[in-house]
Amino acid sequence: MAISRFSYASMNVMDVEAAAQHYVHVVGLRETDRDTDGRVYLQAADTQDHHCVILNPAKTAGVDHLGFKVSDRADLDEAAAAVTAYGLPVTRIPAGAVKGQGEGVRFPLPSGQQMLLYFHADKVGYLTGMENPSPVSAHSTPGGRVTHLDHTLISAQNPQDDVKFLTEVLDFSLTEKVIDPAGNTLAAFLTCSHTMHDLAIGPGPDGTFHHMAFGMDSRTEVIHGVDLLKEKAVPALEYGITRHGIAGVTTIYFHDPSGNRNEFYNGAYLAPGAPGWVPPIVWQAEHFPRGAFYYENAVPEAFFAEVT
Amino acid sequence: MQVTLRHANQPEVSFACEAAETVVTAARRAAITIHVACEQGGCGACRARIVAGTVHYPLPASARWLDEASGSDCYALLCRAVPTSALVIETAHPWRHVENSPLSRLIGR
Repeated sequence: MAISRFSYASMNVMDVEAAAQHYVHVVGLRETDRDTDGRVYLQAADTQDHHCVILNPAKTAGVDHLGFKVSDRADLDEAAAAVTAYGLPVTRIPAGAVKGQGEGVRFPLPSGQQMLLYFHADKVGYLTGMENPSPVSAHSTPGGRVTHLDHTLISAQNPQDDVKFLTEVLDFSLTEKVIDPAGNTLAAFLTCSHTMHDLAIGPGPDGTFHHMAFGMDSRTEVIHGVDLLKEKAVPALEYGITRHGIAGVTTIYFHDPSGNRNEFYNGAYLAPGAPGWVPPIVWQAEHFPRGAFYYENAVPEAFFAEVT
Repeated sequence: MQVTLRHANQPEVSFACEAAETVVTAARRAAITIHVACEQGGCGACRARIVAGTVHYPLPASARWLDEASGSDCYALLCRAVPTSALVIETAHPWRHVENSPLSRLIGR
């Protein structure tokens, strides 16, 4: 099995036009397509595929599904068999059901959020083009200087159930975890690619979405992003600009117009996604405040309670 | 419209809400800070139980937090809810009073 990367988040929003404005003019994505069901597709500057965010018209905020790319078409059959054997229901998704995308397999994590694995994506190219391009494409967007969609954090009542499934069935690698005094996993950071997390699991209600993070080239760009958020009066900038102790990244959180949490961030370390190659860093729960927000050395309870 | 907030261990407060004004905005004018996070009707941080009265939503509010009413309970998202009658609300989180100093009055917070 070879899941090669976290590719996109299909998000539910209550006002698609307001959300599209936000993801273009605040986050810095480009709109790449629309479909007849009213969905909007967007992509970051430095990724060639058709989309990294899909906006679905909905009555409730939150995540519809998370898209992960596999490195070979045959991986889809292998994944479908392995997930079915694990006891989770698999649905085959025909090519084109998600616009710009080939066939896929969809199934819930133990905590309920839907994952969709696929191989083919139509190409829209890099923002600055595919011939003789400028090397500073992220500077060409009207919003934040975002290069790519990097990772997502979802919530689970029992994060260990998701960790077991992701590592044993889908060959994710655990890079960091937070444990309580009894050794139970409170939060987990997992990779399937080359970076320390593609998918993270935090404590909270099953089936909910905590945030998706957009990568930037430097800490300076994150500072520029905060200036932009302030100038555009984007509400509720929780903590930050700050650093996470976990991975040491520079970070700021904010919300889209339906309350789905976004992050601008820079600086995750590299970690090979091959299962078991990198033993995980362990954080005891009493040190979690420093791991979560390094400068403040505190975690507001609401940070994990408030999800969509 | 008159809005009254209740929360365990906190004396109740009342303030006036203008037409088309959300409960959170009206509370701010009254120097009361209601707990919010996204302020976009999505995250449920400001979700509160309506004890009496009615509201409407000029802007979208996530049905997830409004459809979970059980029995006779009725919930509102205060960052988006605009009162259509006098309201009595029981909040999930305590509110804060902005100190009524001359500077606070001057800058309206």
